[in-house]
Formats: sequence, structure tokens, C-alpha cells
Amino acid sequence: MHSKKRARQAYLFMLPALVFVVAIYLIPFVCTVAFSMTNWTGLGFDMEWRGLQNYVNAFLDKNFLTVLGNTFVYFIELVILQFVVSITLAAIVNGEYKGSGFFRSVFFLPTVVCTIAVGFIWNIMYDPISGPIKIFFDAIGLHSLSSVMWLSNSATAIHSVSLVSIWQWTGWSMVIYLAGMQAISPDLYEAADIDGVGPFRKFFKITLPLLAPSITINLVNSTIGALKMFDLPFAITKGGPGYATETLSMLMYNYSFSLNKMGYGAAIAMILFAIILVISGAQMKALRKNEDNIL
Amino acid sequence: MRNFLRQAPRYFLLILGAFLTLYPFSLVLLTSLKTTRDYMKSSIALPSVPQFSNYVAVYKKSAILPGFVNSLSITVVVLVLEILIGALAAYALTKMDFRKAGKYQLLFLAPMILPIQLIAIPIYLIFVNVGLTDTKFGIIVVYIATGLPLVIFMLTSFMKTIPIQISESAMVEGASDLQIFNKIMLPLLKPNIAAISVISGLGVWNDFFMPLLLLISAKQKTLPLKIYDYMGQYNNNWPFVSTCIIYVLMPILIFYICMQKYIIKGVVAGAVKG
Repeated sequence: MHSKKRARQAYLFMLPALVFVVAIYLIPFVCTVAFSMTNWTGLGFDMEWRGLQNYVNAFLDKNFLTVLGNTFVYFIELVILQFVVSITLAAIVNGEYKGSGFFRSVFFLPTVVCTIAVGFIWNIMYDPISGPIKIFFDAIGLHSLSSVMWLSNSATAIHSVSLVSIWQWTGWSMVIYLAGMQAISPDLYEAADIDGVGPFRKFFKITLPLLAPSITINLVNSTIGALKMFDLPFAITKGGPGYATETLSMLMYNYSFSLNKMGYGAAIAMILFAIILVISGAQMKALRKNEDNIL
Repeated sequence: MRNFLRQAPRYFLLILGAFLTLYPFSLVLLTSLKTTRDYMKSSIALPSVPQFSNYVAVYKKSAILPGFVNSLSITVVVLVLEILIGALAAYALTKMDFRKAGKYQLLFLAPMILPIQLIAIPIYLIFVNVGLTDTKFGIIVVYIATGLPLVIFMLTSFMKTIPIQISESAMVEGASDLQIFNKIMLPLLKPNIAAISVISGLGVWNDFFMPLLLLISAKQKTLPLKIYDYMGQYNNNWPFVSTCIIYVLMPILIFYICMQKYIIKGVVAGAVKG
């Protein structure tokens, strides 16, 4: 009797949270699935059922394919470079020395700044006339590089945006790696010292394998972040030149809210969701397996 | 001295990294203190005479302060409500030995993988039809929902570390669940709640997508959206743009310096795998 009453009370405790999750996640999610199979404009109630036509159309849409390609470029660059830079940085920052707290705080700083502001800061950095990057290349005599219009040249724009994203988010991964490194027992390193193992071997044979759980978290995190990127390209290039830096999130936004093709926009959102699910799911499976092998 | 030499490569890399991280910020600060003419002469030199006229001009032209107040009030209300709602759910999931806890936990955590874009269209349409676009209430509701999965995830993992004996012995003494929640759990979780608030609050404060979608009138816009609008107007007038950026950075910098400990703790706690 008592426990039955308590179970009822448990539902009462969860009720507010349930209401939010159902109203803002579950119902809208079902609606998106349904919209993605219509040609709804979002205005009025005129709509036709189109089955999977929107999905088929997407893969025939040249702009969609460009943007899909961009999304994969962002994904590859952000995941790989951010991994290399942040884990190296964590290894350098880790340890006891003067100023360790200061450097940690500095490297984490860009992650707390709003991405829109970061986008504009780098617009100033990349400016093709007055930007410090141009001035730097001029100063060291690399005039072929100093004349590059980093953000308005379709060959360089997407990589320039990637670089800014890495600049902003490396500190986040670094902090997670750092916490992982500090959880490794110092005995292991002492034993290695006794055996005369050098610092690089220590890093690859002790630190890296034992960081497996942190690596999983960071890779999945940066994968999801890269795949659904919106703010940074929106602020820094607006997706241009042409569609060179546009992401699936931006394309979905433009179709749904600027061009009133809600049905098509919903289909793009669903495709994005499927991509995130497949890639992060596969990653998680592979990385967990890797963790199990090591630990 | 020998010790220092051994540390020299480390310091070299650290200083290089710190320079690459901080230089863009210092450039913006210097640029904000220059006149346009001064900037044209040299974009990277120190201002010939530092002057604050940009700050006065931008402040007068753009409603920075109301944007700040909007962002702050939305963030505070969202945090208070999502932590309360999330903590109640986490308590039910971990402390009320309730059989379907596992299933419900999954239901609460599943939204973490749903990108916001997936629910943006229906939310927009529903909000337009019930008159919730361009209201603080509407955006607060969305933020509470989008924040809850992480809050519940973090709070359940913290609550699991609190021994069940504590609530059981209180129960024997005749305390109700609501009393245990209120008098025992919340005070015990204070440092964790601080860490969660900081992480979740930063997400709300810096968010751009939802305000872009839902807030229309200048009166309701949050700081990131306002800044985005002004940047467009000042198009490549970098001293003005820089001033805007500094206005946006100042509150978050002060916050960062004061709350750093909690921020880092929150990042790490949020990353613990489930």
C-alpha cells in the first residue's frame, strides 16, 4: 500500500519534466516526421502528401549536395584537428609548474564567448585589407598568402571557418582530457620512470590508452557539434560565397523560414538527424569497443 | 636554472598557445579604442590616443542595456525552473525505488541526441498559432525543455552518489519525500547545482538559434541577436563592431573570472559517460 502510494508520488515528481519533454520534444518530433512528407508552406492548411518525394528531391538538389559535402568537410576537419590540438594542449598544460592555472583558464576562455561574437572577431582577423593575418603574411614576405581573401574565396572559406571553430572549442575538449589525465595513477608513470621510459613513449603507452573514455566523449561531442553547426558560419560568412560554407542546419533554416518550404526543410532536418544518429552511433560503438579492449 | 631549462619548451608552447588564443581579443579591444581614421592608418598598432567615443556612440545608438536585461532575465528564470523541475524528476528516478525508473530515465535522456533543428519547425508553427512567438514566456518554455535532459542526466548521476540510507533513515523518522527532497537533497547537491547552472546558463545566454527563430521585436531580443543586428548595420566599420563585441564580452568575462571553478567542474561532470 505504502509503496503503491509512493510510486504514484514518483509520477507526480516527474510530471513537470514529462510535460516539457513531451510537449517540446516528442510532439514536435512526430510533427517534423509528418511535415517532411508533405509540401506544406507553413502558411494556411493547404498541403499535399508527398511520401518520400522531398527526400528524393533533396538528393537531386545541387545546393543540398554541396551543403552535404560541406557538412562532411566540417566534420572531418573539426573532429581530427580538434582531437590532435586539444590532447596535445592538455598534455602540455598538465603537471605542476608556475602559471598552470592561468594557462588553463586562457585556453578555456573562447568557449564561454558567444559564437556570434567569435564570428565577428574573426571577420576582423581575416579582413583582406586591414586584417592581422594579411599583415602577418606580408611581414614575413609570403605575399602569395597575404593576398588570399580567406573568407570570400570558395576554395579557402570553409577551411577558414573550420579553423575558427577549432580555435573556439579546443579548450572545452582540453579540460575533459585534463581531468582524464589527472585521474591516471602517478604510480604508473613512476614505474615507467624506473624502467627508463621516455616522455613520448609514456604518452603513447600510458596516457593515451587510459584516456579512452575521455576520447569517446570528446569525439562524439565534436562530431555532433560539427554536424549541426549553425551560429559560426551564419555570423562569419552567412554560408557564402555561394553555398561554400553553408551547413545543413542553415539550409534547413533558409528553406523553412525564408523560402517557406517547410515540408522540404523538415526533410532536410530529418536527413541531418539520420546522419548524426548513424555517425555518432557508429563512433560510440567503435570507441566503446576500444575502451573495453584496453581497460 | 636547470629546472627552468627543462621547462623551457613547455613554456614556449604555452605562451605561443596563449598568444594565439588571446590575440584576437586584444585586437578587438585595441580597435574599439580607435577612431576610424586611426584604424585606417594602422589596424594593428596601439591607438594613437585611446578614446571612448565609440563606446558612447554605440551605447546611444544600440539598445545594449535592454538586450542585456532580456538575456539575463531569461537565463535566470530558465535556470531556476529547469533545476527545480529536473531535480524533482532526478529524485523520483533515483530515490523513490520506482520500478520503471530505467525506462523513464531513457525517455528523459533521449532528447540529448535530437538536434534542435529537428523540432524547430513545429515549435515555430505551434508558437505562431498560440501567440507565443516574440514573448519571453515562449522562449523560456523552449529553453527549459531543451535544458532538462542535461540537467536530469547530471543530477541523477550526482544523486546516485548520495547513500540511500540517508533518505531511508529520514523516512523512518517520518519525513515525506518532499521534505527529504527539500531539506536533505537540495542542500547536499548545492555545489553540483552550481556547476550545472553555470554550464546550462552559458548555453542559454549564448544561444542564437532560438532567439533568431522566435524573437522578432527589438524590445524582446537577447544580446547575441541584438549584436548580430547591429553588426549588419555597421558593416565593416571595425572600430564600431569591436565596441559592440567588447560590450558583449564584458559581462561574460567578469562571470568567467568569478565562476571559473564551477564552469570547469560542470564541463567535466557533464562529460561523465552515462
